[in-house]
Amino acid sequence: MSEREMERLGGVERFFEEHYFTEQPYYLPIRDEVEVFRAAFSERLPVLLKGPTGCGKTRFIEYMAYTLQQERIKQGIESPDTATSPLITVACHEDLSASDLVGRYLLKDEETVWIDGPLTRAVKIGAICYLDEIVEARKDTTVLIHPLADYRRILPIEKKGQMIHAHENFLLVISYNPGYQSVLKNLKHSTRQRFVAIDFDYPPREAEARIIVHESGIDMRAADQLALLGEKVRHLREHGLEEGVSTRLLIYAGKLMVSGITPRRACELAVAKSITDDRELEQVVTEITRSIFES
Amino acid sequence: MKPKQQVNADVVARAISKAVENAPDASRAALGDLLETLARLDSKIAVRCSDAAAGILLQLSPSQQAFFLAHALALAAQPRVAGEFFCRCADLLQHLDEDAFRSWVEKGRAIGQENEAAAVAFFRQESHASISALQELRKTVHIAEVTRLLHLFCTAIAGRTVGVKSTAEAPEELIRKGHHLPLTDGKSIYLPGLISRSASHRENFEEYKVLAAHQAGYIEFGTFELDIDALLDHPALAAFERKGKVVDSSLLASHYELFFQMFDEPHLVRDIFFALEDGRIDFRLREKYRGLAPELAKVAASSLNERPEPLSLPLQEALVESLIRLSISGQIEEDLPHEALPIYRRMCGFFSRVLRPHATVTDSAVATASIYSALHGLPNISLRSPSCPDALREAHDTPLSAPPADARSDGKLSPTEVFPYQPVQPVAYRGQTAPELVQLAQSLEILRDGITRAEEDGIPLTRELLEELLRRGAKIKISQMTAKQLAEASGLFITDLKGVLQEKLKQLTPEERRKFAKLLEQALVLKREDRVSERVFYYDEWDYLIGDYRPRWCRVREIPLEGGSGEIVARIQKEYSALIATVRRHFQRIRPEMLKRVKRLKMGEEIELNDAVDAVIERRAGLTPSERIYQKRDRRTRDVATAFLLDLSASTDEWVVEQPMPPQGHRLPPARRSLFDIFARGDAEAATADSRMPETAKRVIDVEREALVIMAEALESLGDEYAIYGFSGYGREDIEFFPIKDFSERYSEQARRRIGALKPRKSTRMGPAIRHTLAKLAATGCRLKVLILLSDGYPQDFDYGPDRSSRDYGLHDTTVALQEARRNNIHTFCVTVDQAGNDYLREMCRGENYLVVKKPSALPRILPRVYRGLTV
Ligand SMILES: Nc1ncnc2c1ncn2[C@@H]1O[C@H](COP(=O)(O)OP(=O)(O)O)[C@@H](O)[C@H]1O
Ligand SMILES: [Mg+2]
Repeated sequence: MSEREMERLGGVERFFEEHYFTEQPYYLPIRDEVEVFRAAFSERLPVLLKGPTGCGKTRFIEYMAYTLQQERIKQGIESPDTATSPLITVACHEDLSASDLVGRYLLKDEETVWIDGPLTRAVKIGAICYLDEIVEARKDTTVLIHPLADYRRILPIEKKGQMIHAHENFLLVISYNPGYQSVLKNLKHSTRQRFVAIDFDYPPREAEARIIVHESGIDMRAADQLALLGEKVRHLREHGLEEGVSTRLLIYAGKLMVSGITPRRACELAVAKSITDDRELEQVVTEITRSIFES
Repeated sequence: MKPKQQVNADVVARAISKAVENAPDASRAALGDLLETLARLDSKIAVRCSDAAAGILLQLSPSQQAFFLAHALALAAQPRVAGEFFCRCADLLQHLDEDAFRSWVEKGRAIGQENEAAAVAFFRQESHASISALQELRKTVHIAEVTRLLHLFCTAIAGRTVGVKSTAEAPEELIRKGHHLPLTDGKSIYLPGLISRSASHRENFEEYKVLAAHQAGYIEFGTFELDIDALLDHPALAAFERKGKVVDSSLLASHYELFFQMFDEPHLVRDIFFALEDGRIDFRLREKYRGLAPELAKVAASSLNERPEPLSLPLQEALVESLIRLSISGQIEEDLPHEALPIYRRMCGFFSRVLRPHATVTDSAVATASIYSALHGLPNISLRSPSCPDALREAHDTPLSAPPADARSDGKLSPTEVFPYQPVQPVAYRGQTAPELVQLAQSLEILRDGITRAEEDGIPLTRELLEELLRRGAKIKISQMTAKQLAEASGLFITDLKGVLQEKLKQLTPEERRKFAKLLEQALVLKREDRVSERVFYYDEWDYLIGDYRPRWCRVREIPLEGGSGEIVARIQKEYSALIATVRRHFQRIRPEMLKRVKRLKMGEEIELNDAVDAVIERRAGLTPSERIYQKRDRRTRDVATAFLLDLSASTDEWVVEQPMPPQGHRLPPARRSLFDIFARGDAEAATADSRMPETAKRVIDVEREALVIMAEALESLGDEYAIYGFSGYGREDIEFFPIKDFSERYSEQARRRIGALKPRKSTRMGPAIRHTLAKLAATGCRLKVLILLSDGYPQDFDYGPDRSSRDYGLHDTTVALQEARRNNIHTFCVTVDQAGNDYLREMCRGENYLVVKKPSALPRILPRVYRGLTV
């Protein structure tokens, strides 16, 4: 059953997304992440994407899911006509529980119907299941993750008294942002150790400029200036701007500029004000912006 | 107030008459008036003012002098106030127009009517009232207002932590050309104390930015990376190489020194080099920071106005000056004598090579050699001299590869015509950075770090290792002789290396030795500052004497604690295992309240819809549904952050002296606020625990440590956010703040080791330590924020107020700091083992938020109860 069908059944919040791609998602490889992911996938090792917010983790997994499926289609392993969604993403939040992931019974007329949750669905159809910011979710979700993440590759569905073996193409991928660690919300060691970790960070300047051009439609010169701003602002990561500034925000600034807002103002809105509440730090970011952009 | 010590009347009279004599004619009468008036009231101040008068009046125009003296006289009824005004405020007239100045002085005078000390601080420009009034009035930007901003700005630009300070704080040996010129030592950027050239505050700030960016540009664009080995192979330097090789006299030489020493005329080569390198830096800045480019152009253009006309200078200097102008404005000089143009054009050609996006400092050095070759053979004669054209023509004919014969020695020119080369006037906005010193300091640091690390690991320092250290970025060379000695003693241990270095030091001339020692020391200082530079914070301090804050008065340094062992904590855990278990049990009872919405209950205030629906559906599906479909609303979230701030003053070294046991039932101090119940409840436990505890002698610090360990154990089981900090220090510039466990940090082995490393230190300046802790608490964003201060006495420090023997200043400041906490919704509680604590804590902590622990050894048991009382 697709997400859309479920929505028709009503009552289900849209906390996850089943992705269908019509074209290859744009992703610019930064280091060897593509090769590492391929290797992990071929061994069906679960993957942990580690890195600050807005640095391309989601985009990367979209790209990988699409690319790997296309390759299977090309090799004749999968048929283009029956191909299912290659990627299901779940944005974890503090109320997200195990049954949200596995599924639950719903009422339909006088009957009860079991509806698979996103994880069950991914396990069945052989999609990559991406649990974004896993530490946010409730603790009972770990019970599901562990047996899926090791050699067993099974998902227990308690309410139905079932145990499903994962589809051959299923892979569990989780993400984790070490930036805002708190004592309470830390990835458990027992969890972490089941995953192949791939480190992400903001792209180097030239790569980031190309990404900004592609995503916002701004010209290369302005994109390069935005990437320079990103590089400089990230130097302040140890001086109160823990998260630096994300590629996403730089793209937003680019989009604002495309729509006619002056660069300085666009950066003030999308960057300076978004990344800090400290007035002096905001001022520093503004001064850096003013130094880089003429207007 | 102290009794005034008066000065012998003769001395006063002499001082005054000398001052008046030295004063400009027009101001004599007014100055005499002022000094005589002061002398009648306070002879010491009169002498101080007399001595300073000449320097002060010199800064002012005649009309300003009259204006300034009239104001001083108007203040003379309060001689201390007038004295500060006279000695400290004259330079403000450069930055304020007269109306603004008048209204500012008037403000200070009015304050003086109420409170003389406040007026003194006002005119010293140290009080908040004074500085904020100045800020409103003036266009001038003071370095203090923009220090943090520029520090972060430069750090962002340079890509590494860069401090920003006033040139007044620069090490003397780095000041080469004047106290107002910017410079960097590679770690910090020193900028003028104030800028006021332009008409608005904003423009003056922009100028600060330009000055800072130029210095940061040296770092960003690699000025200090000049590498002599990359240069030596270059054809342009072939002619000079011979000289480069003989340089072997000094122990260590930076690559810059080696480079400059290749040339005979040190001033000439430096002037050429800086024109090119500064030009390159400006070019790179303009390219990269397009928004800064117009500001840079403005500052550059105005710097041209201060420069001499090339035509007014003798030949060599005129050409160098033209080169500098070219590097500042990009404009080709047209007015040079016809015969000089070919050389000048050649220079322009060389210069253009550094104006490329990827030009490096090596390009500047190579171009320097080329231009030097073209210039150094020219006679430095007046442009108007009849022999000038000849000399120039001759220079064209000489091929570049062989440096032209020295025109001065071939007898055509009379020696009187030839001027010795005078170094150019520095370009103010480019400053006076000495790259050779930066390289030396940085290299010494690399060496020293490497040596220390090798020493710690017990690795013998071979020549290979030393060379490796040098290769790893150090831009210095060790002389042949030293290298040979090192090679001979292969397998040399570090201590031996020190010996060799020492031996070598002995061979140096005293002059060289002094220089070396100084540099080494500087490297050490830089290192020390570097470690903490990113963790320095400034806080205002409340001066009750003037009834105002002193802005940015205290400098708090965060210092990582090192070298403790986890054993101490393990021992405490063992010794107190029973107590820890008890406290944990108590704390566990608090726990359920943590859940913010308690769901999945068998009974409760209301039905949780999702769970209920699930249950209904499950029943229909033929499953046994869960009965837990209720939830309780409105339960308080446990959203607590607590900081424990620990007094590490020297006095915590004292032995705990226990008071005789009070009779049963009065064992604990009369409790204030609701804490009473908690103490009463825990009393029986404390009593039983007491009898089992071995009573070995402990110091205050030990007791504090034990209390912390137990607290940490308890909090770990509760899961509340908490942090532990220690503080001490000496003086307002050096408050030490030791993070032991930060909020985001785990209670790790490392944190435990830091607890073990706690030891008594120096003074107790509580205000800034509290303010710093408040900032950290505020950053947690928790709903309930608590600061618990553990101390053993009243706040004190040698400069905590003007009178060392008085506690009042410190108490007032601490009181105000605690008030600031309340204003920011942070609860505070002071626990002290100082039995005299009742006397001052009542006021300091507003009545009840404190506790005097009668029996210090009970602290470990009491602290958890305090915590519960405050947070539950
Ligand atoms: N390497 C990359 N290639 C292409 N786009 C990227 C890349 N890195 C970042 N982006 C852009 O940045 C945006 C934010 O990245 P995203 O994947 O959503 O971040 P994350 O999941 O790490 O929070 C993406 O939408 C994409 O436009
Ligand atoms: Mg003390």
